[in-house]
This record gives sequence, structure tokens and C-alpha cells, in this order.
Amino acid sequence: MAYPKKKFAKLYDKYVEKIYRFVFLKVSSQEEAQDLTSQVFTKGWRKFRKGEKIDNPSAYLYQIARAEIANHHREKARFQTVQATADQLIDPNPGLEEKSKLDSDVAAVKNCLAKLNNEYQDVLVWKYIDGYSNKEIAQMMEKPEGTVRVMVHRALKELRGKLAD
Amino acid sequence: MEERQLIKKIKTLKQIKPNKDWVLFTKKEILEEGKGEQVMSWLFTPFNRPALVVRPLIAGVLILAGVFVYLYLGALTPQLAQLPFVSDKRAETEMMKASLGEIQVSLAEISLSLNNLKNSRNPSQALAVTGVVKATAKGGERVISGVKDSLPKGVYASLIDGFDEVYEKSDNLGEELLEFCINSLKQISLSEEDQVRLRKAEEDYNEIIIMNLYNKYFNEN
Repeated sequence: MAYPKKKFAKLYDKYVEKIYRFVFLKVSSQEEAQDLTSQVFTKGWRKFRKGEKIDNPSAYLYQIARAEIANHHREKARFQTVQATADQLIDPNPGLEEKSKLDSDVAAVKNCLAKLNNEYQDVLVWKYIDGYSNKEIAQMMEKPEGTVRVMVHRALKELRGKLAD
Repeated sequence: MEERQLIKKIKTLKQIKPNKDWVLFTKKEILEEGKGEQVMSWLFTPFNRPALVVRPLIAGVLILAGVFVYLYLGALTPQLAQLPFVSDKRAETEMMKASLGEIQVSLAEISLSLNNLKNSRNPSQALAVTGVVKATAKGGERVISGVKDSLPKGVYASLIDGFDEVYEKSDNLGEELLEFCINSLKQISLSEEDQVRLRKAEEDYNEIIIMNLYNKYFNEN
């Protein structure tokens, strides 16, 4: 493959924010999200560098991310330690008061989202945050498009219930 | 809540973004993988978790080692005092003070990083790192003891307290990691020969723990 580094750099630029956010919503700190995200791209790069074909890069990266997150939670459960959770959620561009409100809104949605099952979390993130179509989500999840549509509907309903509690 | 409002709330999560410096740094690091950094790679990314623990810990140890070398050279006054670069006593004292400050900061950083080392994905390598940290600290303590008389009052005691904290944390973490490794090995199926080895390792470990408790008890009383 010609210029694999350049091509992978483009993939990285395109997906790093999405993958980071996807991971961050499922772990408890920025450090964990950074470590797992870098793992995802390191694995992707190793495969890419060997010249192995990746048909659908986003699906591939999300697949690694899901596996890494699952491993991370397994390891964490085996070797539980106390850790700080007072992470800053968003960049401090707005004023302090505004930022604190944004932080609390984001944190509330993040917490409720985390209470949904993994697949519901994934479809909501992909559909409403990353902007993927049902068809693209169906490809990533290897499920029929109709199933994804139903999942989105149910996930929204469940999230609404959690936010109202 | 209307669906539109709900979707708007979900979209607030778009504000979650990675730190730009981290994004650039990680990109560079990933794309340069395999470009001759293998020699020290286990040391800098031993658990494949570059952002979490290891860099601050290793950086702390390296700073500490550098400062010890400086102090050790400073202690060889008869020969080195003849050289122009150490002949200015005042500058030397200032540098000594700065170095002592750096040692205290490094010890505090190492101590903090040891707390986080528990999160390592690879306990057996984490165990090896606790050994490296302890050995470096031991070497440092020997150098500090060699220049004890030239140190300001109270500074020596405070540095020794810092070293003691690092030893204690390394030991406790080492024990915790070792127990974890033994318990993990018990969960997997081993050959008979390996089972015997594991039992022997566990017995030796328990013996060491009992010996340590025994020594601690008699030292304290």
C-alpha cells in the first residue's frame, strides 16, 4: 500500500474525536479514555501497516473500541482500585458559570446514558452524536436496518425514563 | 420530555472532546511505532497504557537519578574543586539547594505514581517496575547518606522520610501485585509440575510475609 502512514494519519484525524467520545462515555476518567483510545488506534495502525485490508474503517475502529472497553471493565473488576472521578468533561472555553452548567448537563446525560445497556448506548451515540444513518449503524452492528430503527426508538424511550427519574 | 428536547440533550455530549495536545502527541507516537524505539519500549509503555502511570513514574526516577549523580559529584570535592566548573562555591550551594528541592518533588511524584500503578493491566510487569523504583531509591539514599554532613539541618531527615514512603509503598504494592498474580494463576489450569511450582512460590511468599511481620514486631518493641 502506498503511503500507509499518510492514509492512516487521515483516518486518525477523522475518527479520533468520535472514538475518544465513544470510549469516554463508557469509562470513568479522561486518563482511561485516552489510554483506551490510543490502544484502539495503535491496533488499527498495526493492522493497516501490514497492508491488511480494512473495508469499513469506522466499523473496524468501533469494533476494536468495544472490545477494548469490555477488556478494560473485566480487568477493572478483577483488580478494583479507588480512583478520582472529578474530571473536566469539556474544554474550558465558555465563562465559568456557563461552563459549570454545561458540565452538569453533560454529566447528567452521560450518567443516564451509562445506565442503558451497551447496544442502546451505542445506537444513540452513533445516531445523534456522530450522525450515522440507520443503514451505517446496521452495518457496524451487523444487524438489519429495521432492528436498528426499533433499537433507537427503545433506547430513546429508556433514556427519557432515566432522565425523568 | 419531547423527543426533540431529548435529542438536544443527547447532542450536548458532542462537547466532549479530547485534549488537542494529547491528540497530536498520540498521533505522533502511534505513527512512529516500530521506528527503532523498541529497546526501551517496555520501560515507557510496559502496560500499553502510556497516559496513565508510567511516564511520570519513570520521569521521576530519571530526575532523581540525575540529581543523585550531581550530588555524588559534588561530594567528591577534593578532586573536583580544582575544576573551574565547580570552583564557585556560591553557585554550587544554590545548585545544591535547587537539587534538593527537585529530589523532594521527585519523591512525592514517585510516591503518587505508585498509587496509580495498581491500575496496570499487566501486574507482573508492574511488579518488576516496583523493583526498579525501589532499587533506584536505595541507590539515591546511599548517595544522600554520603553527603549527609553537607546538607542543611532537617533536610536529610525529610529526604529520608520521602525515601521511607517510597519503600513502604513499593513493598505494599509489590505484595498486593504478587498476591494478585498467585491468585490469577490459581484460576487457570496448570500442569502438575507448574502446580507444584506455584505451591512452592506461595509457601515461600507466605514465609517471607511472616518473617517481615516478625522482624517488624521485634524492631518496634
